[in-house]
Amino acid sequence: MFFLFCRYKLEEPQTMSEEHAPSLEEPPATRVIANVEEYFELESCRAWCDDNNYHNVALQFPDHLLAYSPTVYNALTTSTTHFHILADTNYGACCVDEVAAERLSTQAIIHFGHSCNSKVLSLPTLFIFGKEPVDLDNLVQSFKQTFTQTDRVLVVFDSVYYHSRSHFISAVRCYPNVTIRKYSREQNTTNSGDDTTVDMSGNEEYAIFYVGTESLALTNCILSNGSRKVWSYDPSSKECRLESKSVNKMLIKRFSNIEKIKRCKIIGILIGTLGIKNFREVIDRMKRVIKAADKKFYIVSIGKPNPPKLANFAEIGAFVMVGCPENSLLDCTEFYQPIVTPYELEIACVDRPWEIDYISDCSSLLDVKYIDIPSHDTNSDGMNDKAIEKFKSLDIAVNYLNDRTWSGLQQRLGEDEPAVLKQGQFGIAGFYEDEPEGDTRVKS
Amino acid sequence: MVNFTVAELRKAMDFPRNIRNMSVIAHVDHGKSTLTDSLVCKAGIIANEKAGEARFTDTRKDEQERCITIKSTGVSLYYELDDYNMQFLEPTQYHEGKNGFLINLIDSPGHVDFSSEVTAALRVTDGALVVVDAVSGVCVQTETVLRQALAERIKPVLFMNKMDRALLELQLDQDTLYDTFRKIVENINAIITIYGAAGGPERMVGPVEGTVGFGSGLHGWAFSLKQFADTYTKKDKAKCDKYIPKLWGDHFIDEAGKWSKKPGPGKTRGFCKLILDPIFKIFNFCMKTFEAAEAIKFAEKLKVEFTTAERDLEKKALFKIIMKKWLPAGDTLLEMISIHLPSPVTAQKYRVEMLYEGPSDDVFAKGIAECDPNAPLMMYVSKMVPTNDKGRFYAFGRVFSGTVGSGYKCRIMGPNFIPGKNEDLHIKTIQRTVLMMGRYVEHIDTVPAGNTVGLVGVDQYIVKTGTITNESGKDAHNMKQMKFSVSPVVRVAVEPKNPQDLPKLVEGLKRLAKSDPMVQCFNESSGEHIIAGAGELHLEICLKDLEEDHACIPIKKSDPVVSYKESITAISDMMCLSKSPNKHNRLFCKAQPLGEDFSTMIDDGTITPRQDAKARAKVICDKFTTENDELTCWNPTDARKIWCFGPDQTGPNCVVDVSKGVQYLNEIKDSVVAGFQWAANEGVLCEENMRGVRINIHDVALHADAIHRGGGQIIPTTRRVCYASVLRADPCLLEPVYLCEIQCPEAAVGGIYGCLTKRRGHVFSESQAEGTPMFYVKAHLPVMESFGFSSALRAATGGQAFPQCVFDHWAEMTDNPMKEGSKTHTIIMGTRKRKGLKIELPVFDNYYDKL
Repeated sequence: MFFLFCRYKLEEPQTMSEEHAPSLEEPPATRVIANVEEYFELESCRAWCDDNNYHNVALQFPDHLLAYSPTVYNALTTSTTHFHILADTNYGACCVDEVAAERLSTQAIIHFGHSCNSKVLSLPTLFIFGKEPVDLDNLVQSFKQTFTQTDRVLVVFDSVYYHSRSHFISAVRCYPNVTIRKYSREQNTTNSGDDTTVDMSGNEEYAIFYVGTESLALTNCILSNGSRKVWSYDPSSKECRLESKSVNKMLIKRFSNIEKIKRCKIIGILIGTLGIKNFREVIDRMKRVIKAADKKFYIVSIGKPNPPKLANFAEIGAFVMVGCPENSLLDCTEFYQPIVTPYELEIACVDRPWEIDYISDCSSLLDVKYIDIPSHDTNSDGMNDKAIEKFKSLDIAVNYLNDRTWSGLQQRLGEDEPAVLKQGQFGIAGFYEDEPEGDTRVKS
Repeated sequence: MVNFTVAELRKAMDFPRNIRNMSVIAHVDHGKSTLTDSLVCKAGIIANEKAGEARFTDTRKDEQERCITIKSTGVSLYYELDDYNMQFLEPTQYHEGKNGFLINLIDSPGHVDFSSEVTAALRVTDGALVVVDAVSGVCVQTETVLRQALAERIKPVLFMNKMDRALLELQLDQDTLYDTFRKIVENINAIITIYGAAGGPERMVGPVEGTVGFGSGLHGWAFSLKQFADTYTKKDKAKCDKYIPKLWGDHFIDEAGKWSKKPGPGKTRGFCKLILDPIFKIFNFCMKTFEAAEAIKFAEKLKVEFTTAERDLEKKALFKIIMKKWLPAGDTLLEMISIHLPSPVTAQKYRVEMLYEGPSDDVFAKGIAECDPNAPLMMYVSKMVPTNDKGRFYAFGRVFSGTVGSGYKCRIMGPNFIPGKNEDLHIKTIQRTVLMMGRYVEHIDTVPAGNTVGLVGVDQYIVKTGTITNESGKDAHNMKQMKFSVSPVVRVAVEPKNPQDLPKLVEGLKRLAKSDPMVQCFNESSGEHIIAGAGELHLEICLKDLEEDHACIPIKKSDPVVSYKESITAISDMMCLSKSPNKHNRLFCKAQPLGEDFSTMIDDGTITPRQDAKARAKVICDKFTTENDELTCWNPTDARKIWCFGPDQTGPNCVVDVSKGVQYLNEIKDSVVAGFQWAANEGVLCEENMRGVRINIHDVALHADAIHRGGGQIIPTTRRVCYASVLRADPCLLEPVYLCEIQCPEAAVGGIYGCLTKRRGHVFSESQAEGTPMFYVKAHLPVMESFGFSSALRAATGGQAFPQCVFDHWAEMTDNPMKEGSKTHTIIMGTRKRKGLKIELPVFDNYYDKL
């Protein structure tokens, strides 16, 4: 027996036409996984639970792997350990859904599938990326065709191909300047994950070799390395190409959103995660940044964003997405308002210098202290300024309401007869005093 | 040159009746800048050491190199009329006892690509000196700029330039020359009759009235009938008034000096006998018979004095010097300007209703009408002039009422300002006020109503134009926006060579947009930065400025492309339904063509979104009746229920509510409007603007709960239903078409035809200039085909033909856009590719939902 914990979205169920479907995550080609035991590394899962003595563990699956959840559940369940399945995550499936896990008061989470590798708040987590097959010979061959032995290269594996790294390393041993970006397999509270970023400082010039299919992770990788050359190798099509050609176009597009931000008066802070470390600090910082630019903000929490949901906030000119690096970089052509990352917001609002190596991990924004963001309480005559500020933001909202042709039900003051006051019902909703005696549902 | 201190100049500004604000307008190469030079030499108020530089008003290096004017430039002149001439002035045109006149002159570019500069110049002036080349006559740009001047209620005076060419090159005889002049005057007056709206000043020009001058700017001589009459009547005003009419038109004089109205043997036309004859005599002595001594003798009779050196001159040089001394251009023109062009006091009375958006009886309108320096400040900034300090601009404009000065706190109202709201409004202090004088600026403390001025320190708050009032002007409305006669139909995409420079590029584009009244810089949905201008030359100049002055980074630019518009040719053949994402709301719409007439009326402001709905409905119903056209007719009920225009709330498309008794309909209006703006801005075919599309909302089914019919549901649905309706209404593409005027000798005409045919152009008028071998060919040429047209034409005609192209209209591309291989289809696919869209035609089923 297993327990499926699945939360339904708050908005109405909707079948979206092709035009509306935002491509938040592109699911890998559905493929039948023959050997579940090996693909999901069930042995290491068991070992992890046993070692840490977890009895109550949540298993989080992305949508496309949900079909295997019963198999995994059955294979893992023992008499001592209880498992729960988490699905249909509120935000991106690449992030750990801690809130859901906490509701079930589990001790730990095992996260299956592609991961953005963001740091988690509190729960110990084990990441099982899954082992997507790679044609290793072809990969190595492509690599050798692209680079010479002296090139400095950082190899980035998409998490689902991470398992092939050791073979890859041995195959390219003759390349002394190749580094591989590491993923942390597990995170826990005491040791909040080892550093995932590889220190390449000092090596000014290096190229990046990305192994993985086209996805937001790749986009993220390209943008955060705007000044470097990025090659990508797609294991499913066995194609190797230089991605940096398109980076200019991408940057131009992102930059035009920054320009739009400068012009709008109300910005929505879109909550895209509840599980990443520091997300509260980031939201707090966004608030200050927006205030510093004399704009108003609303905080919006609507789960996964889609155009109809966001268009309901017509008065908001643009959104800033506080989420994991991969979910922040939304392609917003289908959206009515632009959606930017916290980094872009800072460029627009507080003149943070624009660098083409994008900072997509919002928590690393917090490290930068040099930007002068006035905090709430540094005003000399605080009260006065606050009053003005309040008045100002009110002004924007009132203006918006006044500009609408329809701003609520008409009062028709003086036109209609005033209604006569009448004595209403008395008592509690379950049983009003003037209700007939016969109804005794609550009375007992 | 007049030596004037700033203090003296400031004093002159206090007498608005003695001020003339004027611009010089003409077709390209008709000699505006050269003529302006001769005026500046005579009366220019500038520092002495700069005097004598040629083309004083061409301030930019490239202007001097190319010998064309690109930016309009202001310069101030000071001229004193003698007591005799003062008699010709209306009493409102001068202050008692003051016979000095301050003339603020703006030299404007003549090339069609820079027409917007002319518009900006016209706004701040009351009079215009229209220069026409006597040899080529009235050309396309003469008409364009004159039309704009008339729309701004500006009084024109005419100057026939290049008489030297008529004499030297064409060797016209006296009667032909008279005919040429007469024809030009008639042509100009014909334009004035067509475009001169009622309510302005008397604007017809006539030699008898004194509003036509003749001469040669290059040689520095000019005359009007009055000058000859002055000489013949020895400066007696009463006699002179009677004498002038005889010098023009059908007044003939015989040998005995007797006048009659009919020609006959032995009788000569007054104009020929009394005016042209002496000129021809000198000309013959100098250029034909080479009798220098005779010429000098004759000239001395005309009270021309010579220096010893000048007596040795011969031929052309001698002719030039005699004419220059006999009929100095500066005096003639300045006299004409001072007497016939209106002072701000006169002009603002009738211009106020065209200038001010607010009610005509408020304190601001009154201040403008009276040109009162003590009234509340009303100033219109018509253009931004780059300073030496890179990235900063002077805000150049005219004070129409009140006084502006350094350190004044003022309200800067942008074009989107609405009285009573804070949008597009800034309250800032003016750092400095300066006088703009050609290449130089002079600091000045205050400037009263009726004068032009440059402001320092407000450039960040003004995009292109704006209205400036002072702090007491809280209720002031905007001054009306200028309407440009040309459209930015040619565009290029730019990107930095180095992506790191992106912020610099964006900053540079902002500056570029500021520095040019018309150029548009915007982002496409793909994020590409687009610069749109009037023509190839305009864009070339803009790109050069961007690269060298504004952004200072290396840029990559795409080949020029054309802006298209998406339109429809029929009514949707079925009711189109789109459902909201939650399927609970349904919009039933049809698209209907508005017709080009309707679109044009929106463009030129006859139908505007700000109009009162009933008044607008009347205008529409009168014009678009069933009798005229079944397809585009309006009934009165619909005409009152126009929800909005779009894109940008002002464009040539609209949404009409034709539904009956729908609940909650008002509630979704804002969302529908927003969705429609989106759709009209990015059409379904290839995300170009829509034009001439009317969306009729026939029925709406809405969810009973407000939350389920919010913007999120309605905005995307409106967009989809617009697209579906358009797709069912035979969509088509509109392409911009130039009116192209080509001037060439007869022999080259064949080459022109060949060249035009190859480029889908078609000739609709061909004429020969009287008495010249020059032919004028007028043709319509699609803008798309115009790239490289000039050089192709030059090659085809041995360099003898010169085209002038100006945007004329939008033309429907007739082939089927849905058919693969058709030209329109190719264009759509090309545009989609450039914008990064799917390279396939839009599919109806994506936008249409079944019941």
